[in-house]
Amino acid sequence: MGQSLQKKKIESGQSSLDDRENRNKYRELLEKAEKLFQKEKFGSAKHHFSEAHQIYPSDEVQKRILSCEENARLVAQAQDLVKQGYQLEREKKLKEALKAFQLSLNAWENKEIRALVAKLQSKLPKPTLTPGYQAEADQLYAEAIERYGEVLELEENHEAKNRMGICLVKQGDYGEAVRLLEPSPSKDQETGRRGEGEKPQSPGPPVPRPPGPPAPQSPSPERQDPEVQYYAGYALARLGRYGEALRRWEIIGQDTPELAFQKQKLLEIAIRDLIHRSRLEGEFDQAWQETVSLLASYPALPLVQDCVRSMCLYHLEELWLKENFKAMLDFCVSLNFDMGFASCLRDLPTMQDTGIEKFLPFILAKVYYHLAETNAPEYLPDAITFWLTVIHNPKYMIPPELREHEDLPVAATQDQLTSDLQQKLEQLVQHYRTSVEGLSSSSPFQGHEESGKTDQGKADQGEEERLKEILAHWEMERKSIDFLVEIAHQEIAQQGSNQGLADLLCTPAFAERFRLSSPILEKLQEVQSLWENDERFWIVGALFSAARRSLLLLNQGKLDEAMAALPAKKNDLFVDYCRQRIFFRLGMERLQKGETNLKKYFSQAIPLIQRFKEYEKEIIRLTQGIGNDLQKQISMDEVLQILIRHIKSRELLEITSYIMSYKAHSMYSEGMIKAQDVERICKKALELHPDNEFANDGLREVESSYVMEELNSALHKANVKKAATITINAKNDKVEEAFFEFVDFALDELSTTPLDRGKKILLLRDLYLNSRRVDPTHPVLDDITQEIESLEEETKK
Amino acid sequence: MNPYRVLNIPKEASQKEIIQAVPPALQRKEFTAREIADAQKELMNPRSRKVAEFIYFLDSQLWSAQGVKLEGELSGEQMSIGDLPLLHCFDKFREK
Repeated sequence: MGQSLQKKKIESGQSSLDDRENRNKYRELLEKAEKLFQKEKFGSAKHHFSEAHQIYPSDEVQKRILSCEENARLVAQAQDLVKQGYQLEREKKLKEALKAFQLSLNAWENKEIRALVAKLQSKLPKPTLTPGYQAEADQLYAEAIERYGEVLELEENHEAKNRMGICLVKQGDYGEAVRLLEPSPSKDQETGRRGEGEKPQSPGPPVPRPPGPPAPQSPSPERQDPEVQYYAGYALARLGRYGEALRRWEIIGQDTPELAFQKQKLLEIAIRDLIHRSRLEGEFDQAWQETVSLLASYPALPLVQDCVRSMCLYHLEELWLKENFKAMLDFCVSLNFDMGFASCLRDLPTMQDTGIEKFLPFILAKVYYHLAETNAPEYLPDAITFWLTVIHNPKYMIPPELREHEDLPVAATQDQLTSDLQQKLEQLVQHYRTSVEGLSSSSPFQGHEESGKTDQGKADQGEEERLKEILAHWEMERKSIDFLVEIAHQEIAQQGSNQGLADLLCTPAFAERFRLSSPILEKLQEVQSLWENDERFWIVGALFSAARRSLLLLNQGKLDEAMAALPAKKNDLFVDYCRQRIFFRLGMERLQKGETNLKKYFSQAIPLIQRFKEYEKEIIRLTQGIGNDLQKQISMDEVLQILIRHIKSRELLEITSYIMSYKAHSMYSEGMIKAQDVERICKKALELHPDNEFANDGLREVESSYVMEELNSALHKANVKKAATITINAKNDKVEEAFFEFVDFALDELSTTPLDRGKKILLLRDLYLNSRRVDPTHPVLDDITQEIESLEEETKK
Repeated sequence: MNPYRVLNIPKEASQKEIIQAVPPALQRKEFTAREIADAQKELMNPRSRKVAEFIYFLDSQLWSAQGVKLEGELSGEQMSIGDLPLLHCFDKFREK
């Protein structure tokens, strides 16, 4: 056993030694490999990287190995070209030699070769564009392209490139022309190879780019030439890249009448073409991107706006008919307008609204509804939010275009339709609830707390939690909008206008998402005096206010989180309401456990309890369950004493009176307080509630205990006369019973005590006389008489 | 369940067409007799039919009054991209 352990220790020591050695070797290999790589000795560098990779395989080193291979290949290719170049130079074929050297530089940068190229170029006659110009002037574009190509073979020449591009456009080769007239990429992008000594880059996520075709890079000064821009734009237009084409034409800056006309024509062609393409199977995405790109160029042009809107609605209709609701949702979410609804859906680059926005709530309500039919846990909350908002708010339910349509439901039928549509949503919620719970008996409209109490044995924990969240969301959203509708109806009835709250109607979640809460809060504050005694006013106000999150957490029973989420704002109506609710709930939680020091909770909740009777009733209900639990009685008494200082309701005073007297009784029974304390407490309790029978009993009990104490004291001193007087005055059965118990005891004691007979007789006579004062009929009198007679008999003998 | 799809009828189907759609729907056996009867009942009642219309139709083309305007704007001379003439007003070469 010991040996095996030692062996293990040795092995473990050896293993850590090996590790250290490997690490050192690995580091050395990498250092050597990097140095060789810097010196462009890619073969040796690869060898060292490979050895390191064998010790600790990693993606990073693997990439370096591949980089060595690629660079070695390029170097070999460049070396071959250099060899060829030298050979051609020896053969006095300078032009060909120059070309070979230039190609080698394209493969691999080499200072010596670059110097050699410069030297050869100086020896050769300067390439000239004149033949190209001449051919172009003669409209011999193919020849001009060839001449410009010759210049480009000898040197990098932007003018040659541009002229060649323009000739290609004239020849109808738009693809190649666009490539040539494209702004120059950087050198690295051109060669596509890694610079010398550059460290490998760690792989990372691709940098996100806004949707749409690649934005043209800033053209270099020579590319801003109107002729180049025009031909580049024309080529792009012919390739169907309309947005880019028009942007190129915008760069020209000089709108000649011909160009202005052509731009207008191109726009019309583009729009017709894009609309056509968007309606072809599988072509929509590209056409849409192109259209969005056009919109970016011409945000204020009605033609483009109409095109965007028309294409968008047509596409949505197509998806609707295919019942591809998920694609509809994704598409709506991708419409990131500058302001309003869609910009809030996701944090993406924005696009200008072209009049689609106002339809989005209406579309999304239906989309979420159908998605929720098959995937309630994911989509039902949004279905609730959008559906309730849309069906209650005429602005969303019937967009302006629809309102003018004579076949549409008139206002009189609106309420009925709204009610029917809300019922449909209720059915969806109920269906989800039933599927999770496996029950259908309970109503879906019980409160949040109640819903959690039903039998959910069939649902797993996750589903159960989700159901609870969704039901809570449903309750909040439904009750909130119902209440707002009630206020709006009253407002319309009083003012005869629906330009107020009716136009703002939405659920709290909808308002939060689309930043519509402030005007609703303002409206609520305007009607505060009418509704402030209805707690729904406060709940709904809080849901639209900064306290929303806190209130939601409170309703989920997450009290500490609710408190933490409460905004620091003071003197905010709804934040204060929410704070009072949290303090009340925290206090109640502690009260149920029988904790003390609850003043900080209930004193904060007093305005809430004063305003809404339900909170007072909840406390009163709790008193019924505390029974004989002294700790809970103490705790409850503490809370009630705080409350009655501010709230003088009859129910609260009565229950406080009872709890005070219960507590006093329990404490007295436990020996924790004296009779005087009980008397004081019971008197105080009777001040609160004079008919408190329990307090009256308590007082009587206390009084009898006082007499008992006096009686005991008299009996202790064997003062039977005084004891009899106390008993007579007390008129209390207990006291009388105690007195005669003593008489019995004294009689027994006297009969057995070795005392002078005469003295015994005197004492017995005294006992007899005082007992007779208390109760002349008591049987003990006979016993005393018998004892006296017996003693007298014995004395006579 | 979409009652229009169950009965395979358009949104504007008349009461008569709804009734006439029942036997073919039964023959297709795509839906149960109960589902077909429910669909018929739902669409025969004007109130529940309105609800069904709201739920199962999008009618986005109705809203796009501007869509018609767009067609009008584009209805003039129809030019294709191939017809777009190449302008020479920027040709500087001619000056050379």
